[in-house]
Order: sequence, then structure tokens, then C-alpha cells
Amino acid sequence: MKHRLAVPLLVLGLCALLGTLAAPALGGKGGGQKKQQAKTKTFEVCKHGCRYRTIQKAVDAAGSFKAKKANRKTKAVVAVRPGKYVEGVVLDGTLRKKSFDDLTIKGTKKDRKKVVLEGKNAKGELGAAQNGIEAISVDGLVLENMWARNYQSNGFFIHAANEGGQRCDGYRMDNLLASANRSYGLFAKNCYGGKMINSAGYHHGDSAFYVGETPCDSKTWTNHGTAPPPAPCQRKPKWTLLKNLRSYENVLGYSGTNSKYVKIVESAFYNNGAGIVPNTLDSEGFEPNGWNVFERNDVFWNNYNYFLAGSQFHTVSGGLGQVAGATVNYPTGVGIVLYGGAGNVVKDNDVFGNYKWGVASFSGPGEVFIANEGDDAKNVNNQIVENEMGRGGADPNGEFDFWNDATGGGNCWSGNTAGATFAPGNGKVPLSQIYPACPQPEVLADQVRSLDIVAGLQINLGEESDPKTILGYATSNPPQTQECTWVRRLPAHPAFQKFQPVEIAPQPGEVVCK
Amino acid sequence: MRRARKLRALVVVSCAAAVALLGVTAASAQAPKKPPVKVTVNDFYFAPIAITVKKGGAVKWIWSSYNTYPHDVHLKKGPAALKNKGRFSTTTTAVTDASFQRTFEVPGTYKFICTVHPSEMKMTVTVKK
Repeated sequence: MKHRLAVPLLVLGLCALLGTLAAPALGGKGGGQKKQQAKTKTFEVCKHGCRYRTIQKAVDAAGSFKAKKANRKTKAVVAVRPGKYVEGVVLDGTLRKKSFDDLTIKGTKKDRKKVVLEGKNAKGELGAAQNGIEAISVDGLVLENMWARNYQSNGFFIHAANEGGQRCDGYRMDNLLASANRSYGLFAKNCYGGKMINSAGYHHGDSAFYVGETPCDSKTWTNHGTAPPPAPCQRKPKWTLLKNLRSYENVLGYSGTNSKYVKIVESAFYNNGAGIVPNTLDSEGFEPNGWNVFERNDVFWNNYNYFLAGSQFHTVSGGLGQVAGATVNYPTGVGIVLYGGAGNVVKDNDVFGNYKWGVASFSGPGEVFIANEGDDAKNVNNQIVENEMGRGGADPNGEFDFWNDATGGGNCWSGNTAGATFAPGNGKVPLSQIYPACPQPEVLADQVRSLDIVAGLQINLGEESDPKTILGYATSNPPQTQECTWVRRLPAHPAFQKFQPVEIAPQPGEVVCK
Repeated sequence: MRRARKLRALVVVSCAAAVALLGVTAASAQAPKKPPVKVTVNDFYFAPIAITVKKGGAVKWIWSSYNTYPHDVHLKKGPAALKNKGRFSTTTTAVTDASFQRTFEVPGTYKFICTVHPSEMKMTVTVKK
């Protein structure tokens, strides 16, 4: 009896054992061996009862911890409990005895308003604290669930110098809020790739979101030259993703000086001076801006005249420079501005209720007017396609849906809302030539000009203050009179989701239109 | 015994007063320290771009209130005898409302840049013996 039972039991036991051994191999996707969990070391910050009372002290401790060889594989997290932290945090990745790579700094609550980095009365190395968090030459930095406000410079700032082996790569800024910082909200400069997602910014003297000076494979990269044609900036581009953002009541919603490989999607830019503004300027390296994608965004009501005394914020820029003795400012009342860009794609956006133009594209005339030294700011190879303009007539853009200065070449417009309006200029150049349909053959920057005096859109020689030209409009004097040529096609904007239009009323005598 | 203690106390107080007085006199005899040479940090340039100070002189960088962009002060090259070169660089950038001061005790040539705008923003401090 015992033996008779023992044999089946043995067989069953063997089967069970084999089954257990075989399970991981047969389990497919979900049945593999569990990945070994990376170790995490948490540095907790709070006002009372934590080891660290300031974010800076916790960050320094995390940096020292990570610098030790034994801790390289351990993830360091600075966890900030709710509270107001009056300080400016600096992560200097060039220090030998510290390592901030792959560090996470995060508020412990999902509500980003619970952890406030306050710039008012905050002190830093040089006097007033300049940034909520500044990271220099750090890879893989993660910032989450925080609010930075009232800083002398920026809310969250990550950058690397273009020398000394500095670099920043693969940052992630997630669920952040920035407000009333003097220049920028979320600011990345000279970085390879990264993410700004699920975040918002308002009341900035420049833009709420900024990606600038995207570095190239070679420090001496240029898009000049025809034989051989210039190489791409990055052969294997590292993209920067901006997604699910809200940018409102800033000088610019997004600005990207000499930015490249930036994809902005599914975000809202509204009630700014201008909405999305990639641009090419001498102020940063690796000119021009280009090869960016702006897709499926809502860009509307960008009619905030920040030049007026009643504005809650003012531009920190004294203008973009001088042309023909006049100060050039960014145009206001415009949804999307492509300034001196190459190969940008503006696709499937909803652009409405902007009183001047919906999408404008133009060069910086570098030949005669020296708006851009080296003549880098050329309007070339941009595609403006499949955009919905003016909410099907419910909330039209003001003067025109599309405005192009007829400089450069290789640009094209196709598949946008039927009935969209195009600025014609003086009529000497046919619309089909100013706004050719896609596709167009690509041009090299050095094959085309940044100056056009024929179409009457860029410059009207002899009448340089003509506001129908970009020169005349951007040099309006005083600048708040830009709004003299805005066109309000409806008495009020119809409701759109939960948004409310915000405009500043001029004080008596503040805007005198000729 | 009591008198002796009083006498000792009087001597101590007198000596202290004399030392204090000497100190004050010596301090007033020293030449007043020169104020630092000021350099403004502007969008894309230092002003002036070359200055000369005597050994022991100080330089103060002051960020212009008109700036839009962040800048720092970074010692790119200093005299070989200079120790702790890192002291002569800021660890952060600033746009405005900021200053940075350093005293120069080692003679030689100091080359500074802004690391954010290294090709545009350069300056030299020459320290003489």
C-alpha cells in the first residue's frame, strides 16, 4: 500500500518541480525573472523632523553620497516634504567631490503647489538667489512636483557650458510650476535631449518654457556652405519633448533660441504676448534654430500687451536689437512665430483668436541691416501644414492667419483650414510664390537671401515704420502701439474649454494710434 | 593683602587700556584700504575688459540691471603660484542683482570668462607687485 502510493506521489512531486523550473522560461513577457530592483537612498527634507531642513543641504549630501564609488549604482532621491523653502539650490556638476548625475529632486506630494521654492528674500552666493534650482553640467537630472516663484533669473534652470567637458543630457522636468521669475520658468540650455512635461508657467519676463543653444556634434558646426552641403547639427538627433504644458501670461509662451530637435505637442499657449517662438539670435551658439516639430497644440488669444503699465510682468529684454536705428521687439498678438528657422514643422495645431497673425515666419535680415551677424537667421524649409485656423470661423485670427516675409526659400503651406487668410504684401509677388504648396525642394541657407524688398512684407523702403511689414510692426514706437494694427474680428472670444481671455486695457493716453 | 589686590587690579586695567589705545593708534595710522575696482557684467561683455590692480587690491563684479541672460565669472587661467583657483570663480550664474568680489594677493595675469558665453565674454585682471 505504502509503495503503491509512493510512486504516484514521486511522479507528482517531480512534475511539480519541473513545472516550477520551467515556469520562468515558458512565462513569456510577464513571466521573466524579476529585474533586480535598483537600490535607492532617500534624502528627506522638511522644516521639522527631517535630517535636512534645506533642499541645498540634502542635495549636497546626495552629491557627496553619489560621488563615492561604492554608491554609483544606488539611486539618490531628494524627497522634499510640503513647505516653503526660501533658497536657491545649485547643483554644480563640475565639482570633483560631488556627483549629481541621475539625481531626483521631488516634492513628496503630487500637488506641485505643496512644495514652494520661494525667491523673495532668498539669498545666494552672489546676493539674491537667482534660480529656484540651477544645475550645471548634470546628466539625467529629474525634477518633479514643485513650484518655483519670484526668482531673479529663472525657476528651474539646467545648462552646460560649451567647453571644459561640460554637458547635460536627458533631464526630465515633470509636474512643475513656475511663476513670476524675472526671465524664464523652465529653462534648458546647451543640453542634449530632455523632457519638460505636465508643467505650467506664468508671468515671466521672457518665456515660461525655453530650450536654447542645442549643441551639435561639432563645436564649429554651421549650416553655411554649399559644396559640400552642410552636415546636420546632430547625425543621430537627441530629441527634447515638451508635452502637456500650459503657458499663459508671459512675454512668450515658448522661446527657443537656436533650439533644435525640440518636439512640442499637446500643449496650450494662450494669453501671452506671442505663443510659440523658436528663434535665431547671436546671443547663443549653434545658430540657427531648426528641425523642430510643433504639433497638436492649442495656440490662442496671445494678445497680452506687456508693454502697457498695467501688465503684471514686463519684458526683460530691451528688444532684439537695432535695425536701421530702431529697436526691434518681438511682435505681439501672434500665435506662432518662426524667426530665422530652418526645417521646422508646424502641423495640426489649433490656432485662433490671435489679433495680429496666426502663424508668422520671417528672417533676420543679416546682409544689409545686420539684424543677425553672420546672416544665420534665414527662413528656410519650414512646413506649415494641416493647421486649424480660427476655430472654423468661430474665433478668427486678426489681420491674417498666415504671414510670411517672402525671404529665404523651401518653405511651404498645405492642408490648412480652407478659407484661411494669407498676408499678400504689396501685390508685386503672387501669393503662390510667397506661400507655395508642399512639398517644396529643400534649399541650402547660402542659396537664398534673408532680405526681400520686393514683396513689401519684410521692409518697406522709404516707409520703414509701415506696420504691415515685420520691420515696421516690430519697431512700433512706443512699443505698446503694436496693438494699433490688431484686428478684433469679434466683440468677444467664444468660450473655449475652461480658459478665460486675459488682456490689458491701456491707461488714458497710453496708446495713441496714428 | 587687600591693598595689594587693588594695586594688581589697577595695573591690569591700566595695561589693558594702554594696549587698547596703542591698537587704535596703530589702526588709524594704516592707510585706508582702496575700494575694489568695479567691473560690470553685462549681456555678452564685461566692462572694462582689462584692469590692473596692485597686489592686495580687490575687484568687484556687478551684474547689470539691464541683463536678460545669465552670466558667471570663471577664472580660466591664473598665475602658476596661485593656490585655490576655484575661489576666483562663481559657482552659480546670475542675471541681475548680484555681485562677486575677490582680493588678489598673487601677482600675475588672470584671465576670466563667462562660461555661458565663453567666446564673447572675456576679461583680464593684471596684478602688479
